[in-house]
Amino acid sequence: MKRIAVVLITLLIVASFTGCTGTTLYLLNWGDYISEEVVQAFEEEYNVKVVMDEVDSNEAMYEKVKSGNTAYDVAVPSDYMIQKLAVENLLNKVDKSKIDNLQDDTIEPIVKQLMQQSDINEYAVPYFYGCIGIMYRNQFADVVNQYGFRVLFDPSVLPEGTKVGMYNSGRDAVSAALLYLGYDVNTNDDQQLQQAEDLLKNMDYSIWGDDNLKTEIIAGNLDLALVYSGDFFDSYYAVLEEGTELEFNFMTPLSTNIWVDGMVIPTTSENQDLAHKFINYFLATDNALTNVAHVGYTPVVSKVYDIMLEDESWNDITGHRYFRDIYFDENFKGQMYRNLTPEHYEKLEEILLRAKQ
Amino acid sequence: MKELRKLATPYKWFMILLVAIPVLIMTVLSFSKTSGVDFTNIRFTLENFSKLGQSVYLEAIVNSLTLAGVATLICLVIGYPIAYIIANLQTDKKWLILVLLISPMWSNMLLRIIAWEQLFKPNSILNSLGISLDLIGTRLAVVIGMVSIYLPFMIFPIYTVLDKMDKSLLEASRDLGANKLQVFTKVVFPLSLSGIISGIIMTLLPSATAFALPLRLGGGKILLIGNVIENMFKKVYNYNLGSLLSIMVIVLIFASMGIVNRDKGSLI
Amino acid sequence: MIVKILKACRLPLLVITFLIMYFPLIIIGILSVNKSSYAHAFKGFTWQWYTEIFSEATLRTAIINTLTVAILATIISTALGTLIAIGIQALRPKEKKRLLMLNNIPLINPDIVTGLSLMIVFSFLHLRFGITTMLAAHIFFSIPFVVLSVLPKLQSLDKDLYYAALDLGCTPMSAVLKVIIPAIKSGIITGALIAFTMSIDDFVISYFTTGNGFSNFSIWLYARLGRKSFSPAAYAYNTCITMVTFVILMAINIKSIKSKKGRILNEKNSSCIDNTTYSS
Repeated sequence: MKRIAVVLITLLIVASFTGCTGTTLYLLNWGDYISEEVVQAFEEEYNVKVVMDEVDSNEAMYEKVKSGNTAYDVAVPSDYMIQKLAVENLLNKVDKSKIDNLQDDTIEPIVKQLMQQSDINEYAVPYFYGCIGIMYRNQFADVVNQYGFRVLFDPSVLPEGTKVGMYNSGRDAVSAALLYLGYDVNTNDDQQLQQAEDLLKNMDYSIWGDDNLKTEIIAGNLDLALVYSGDFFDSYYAVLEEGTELEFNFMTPLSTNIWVDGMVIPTTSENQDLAHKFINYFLATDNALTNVAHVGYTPVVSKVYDIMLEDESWNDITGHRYFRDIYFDENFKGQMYRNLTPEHYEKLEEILLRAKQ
Repeated sequence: MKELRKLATPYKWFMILLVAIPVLIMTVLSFSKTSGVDFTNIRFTLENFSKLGQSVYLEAIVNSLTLAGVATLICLVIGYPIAYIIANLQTDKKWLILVLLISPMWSNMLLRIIAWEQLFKPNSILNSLGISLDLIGTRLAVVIGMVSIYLPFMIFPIYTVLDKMDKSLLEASRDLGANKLQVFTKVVFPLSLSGIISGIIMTLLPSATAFALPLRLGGGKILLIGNVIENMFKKVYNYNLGSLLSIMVIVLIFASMGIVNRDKGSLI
Repeated sequence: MIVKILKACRLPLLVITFLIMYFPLIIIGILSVNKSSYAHAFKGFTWQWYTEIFSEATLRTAIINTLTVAILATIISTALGTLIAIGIQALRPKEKKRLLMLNNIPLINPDIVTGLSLMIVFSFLHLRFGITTMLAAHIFFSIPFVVLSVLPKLQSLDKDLYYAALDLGCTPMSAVLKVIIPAIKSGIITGALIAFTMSIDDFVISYFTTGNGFSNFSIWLYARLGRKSFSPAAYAYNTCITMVTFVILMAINIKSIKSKKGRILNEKNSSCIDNTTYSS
C-alpha cells in the first residue's frame, strides 16, 4: 500500500507542476539577447513568470515553433524567418493598439524601412537590428580594414598561421562568401553558389562556431571571425566588466547583410494579452535603454539613441554612433535575407557540410 | 505465480508504444517527404536515399566508425590490463580503486568535454605551466575526449567478468602443466571474452553516435553521424533524411548485435 | 613474459588511466575558483562562484529541475520497474525472453536514437514538451535498468516464500509487498541508484524531449557554451557534486569494511556494474 501511496503522491506532484502554467510567459530567444534585469522587473510588475528558451539560429527557432509541441508567447526571429512563419500561418498579427509605447516616431526611420522592405510590419515589432561583419584582434586591423570580407576567404592576404573562425550556419557562411564575390545574398544561381562553396572549401577555418567565436577572439585563440555586430558590443561590455584590456575590434564592410529581429506572437501562444504587454514593456524608453546596455546591439527606439548620444560614456567612436553612422552612410549597401524555399535552404546547409570535408 | 504475470503486460504495450512505434514512424518518414511528423501532405519518394549517397553523409558515417573504433581500441588496450590488475589485486584496498574509477562518472559529461576543450586551445590555463596545445579541430582531440569519457565503460564489464572468474579453473590449468602465459591465453582470456564484447559495445556505440563531443572538440569541423542527425532534426527541419540516417544507425546496431549473438550465444 | 611486462606496466597504466579520467575534473576544480569568468587564463583565487550557484537564477532553476526530474524519475521507475520485474519473472520462459529483449533495446540504443524516438512519439501524440515529456523520457530509460537489477535477485528468491504467504492468507499483492519486495531490497536499491545516476547526468535524451524553456543542468550548460550568460558557477556546482558522491562512496565502503561486510559490498558493487553491461 505504501508504495502505491508513494506513486500517487508523486503523480500529484507532477500534476501540480504541469498545472501551474496560468501566469507564465514563454519566450523563445537568442542567447545573450535580453537583459535579465528588465525581465525581472517585468515579472514583478505583472506578477508573472517568464520562462525563456535560447537557440542559436533562426532555423532552430522555426523548428521549435513549427513542431507544435511548444507554447511560446513571444519569439524573436529575424526578418526572413518572420516572413516564413507568417506565410505558414504560424504567427498572430500584433495588435498595435495594445502597444501604447509604439507611436509613429518611436522607431528609428531606418528600422521602419527595414520592416517595410521585408513586409513584416503586421506581424512583428522590431527588437534590435544589426549586420554581419568581422571581429578581429587589434594587430589585424590594417589587413581587415583594407580587404573586408576578403580576409575570411583569401589566405594570401593574411599573415601565415592566422586563425580564422566562421559562422556554423549555412545561411550566414554562404552569404558572407556571396557578399565578398559581389553577388546577391539571396541568389539561387548554381554557378554563383558553387563559387561561394569553393571559397568556403578552400579556406581552412580553425573553428566553425556561433556564439563561441567572440569568446575565442577575446581569448586570443582566433584572430578574426565572421560575427554579428552585437557580438562585438557584447564582448566589449564583458571585457569592460572584467577590467581587462580591449584587444579586439569590429569592422563592418560597406556591403553586408543587414537584418532586423522582431518580437512576434506565435499562434501557439495561450496568453496573447500578456505577450502584448511584454512587447510593450520592452519598447518603454527606460527598459529599452537598460536592455541595450546589456545586449549590445544598436537600439531601435529613437529616444534611446538620443539619450546615448548625450551621455558621455556612450559617445565614443567604438560606440553605437559608429554603427548608426554606417547604416546611414550613402555608400552602405545593406542586403536583407529573404525567405527561401526549403530546397534552397537545404542547398545552403549542404554547401556548409561539403565545405567542412 | 501466474496471477503476477499481469504486472508485466502493461509494460509490453508501453515498450511497444515507445520503441516500436517510433521506429515505424521513422521508417515511413524515410520513404517520404513530409513537414515534420505532420503526415497531412505526405508524398512518398526515394529521394532521401539518393541524397544518402552524397559524400558528406558517407564521410560522416566513416568518421564515426573510424574515430570511435580507434577510441574503443585504445580503451581496450588500456582497459583490459587495468581490469586485470584490479581483479587480481590482493589488498583490501581494491574498493578504493573501484571507487576512484566510478567517481568521475558522476561528474557531468558535458562539463568534462568542456574541460578538455579548454585545455586543447592555444591560450589556456595550461600556459602558466608553459604548455600550449593546439588540438581543437583535430581527430586526436576527439579521440582523447572519447577515451577519457568512455574508458570506465570498458573497464567495468571486463573487471566484472575477471573478478567473478572461478579461480579453481586457473589452479586446475596450472596443475595440468600450463605456464602463466598459457593460463592467460588459454583460460583467462577466452573466459573474459563476454566482458570484452560488452565493453566494446558500451564504448563503441555511444562514442560513434555522440554529437556534443565531436562538435566541441572537433571545432565544428569534424562531423560524426550524430552531428548530421542532430542538424537534420534541430536546424534543417528535414525529419525525412534525419529519420533515414537514424534508421541506418539502428539497423547497423542490430545487425552487429545479431552477429555477436550468433557467435556468443545470448548476449542480450 | 607477458605477465612480467604486465607487472612492469602496472603502475604507468594506472597512472595513465587516472590521469585521463581525473584531468578534466582537476581542470573543472581549478576553473571553479578562477576569478576570471573566462576560462583561458587564471586570474586569481575566489569562492564567489560557489555562492553564485544559489544566486544565479537560471542556473538555480536548472539545478532544481535536474533534481526534481531525477528524484521523481527514480521513485517512479523504481516502483514500476520492480513490479514489472516481478511480473516478468512470473512469465513463461519464452514470453519472458521476448519481453527481456524488448526491455534491453533502450539499453543498447544510443542516446540519440532513444531521444529522437521519444521526440517523434511525443510530437506525434501532440504532447506539450516540457517537464512532463522529459520526466516520461527519464522514466522510460530508467525502468530497464531497474528491471535488470531486480531480476537476478528474484531468480535467486525461493518461490515457496510467496506461496507460503498466500497460504497464510495474503492476497497476491500483499504477498508481493510483504514477502517478495523485502527479499529483493538490495536489487531495488541498486536499480534506484543507477536510475538516479543516469537521470542526473543525462543530456542527449533530455535535449530532444524538452521544450518551452524547461532545462536541466546539462541543457542549461549546452545553451550557454561560449556565451556571456555562461557562469563558472557551473564548474562550482559540478565540483560540489563530485566531492559529495566521492565522500558518500568512501563513507559507505569504509563503514562496510568496519562492519566486516566488505565482501558483500564488493559483490553489490560488482553486481551494480554487471547490470549496466547488458550481459545478465
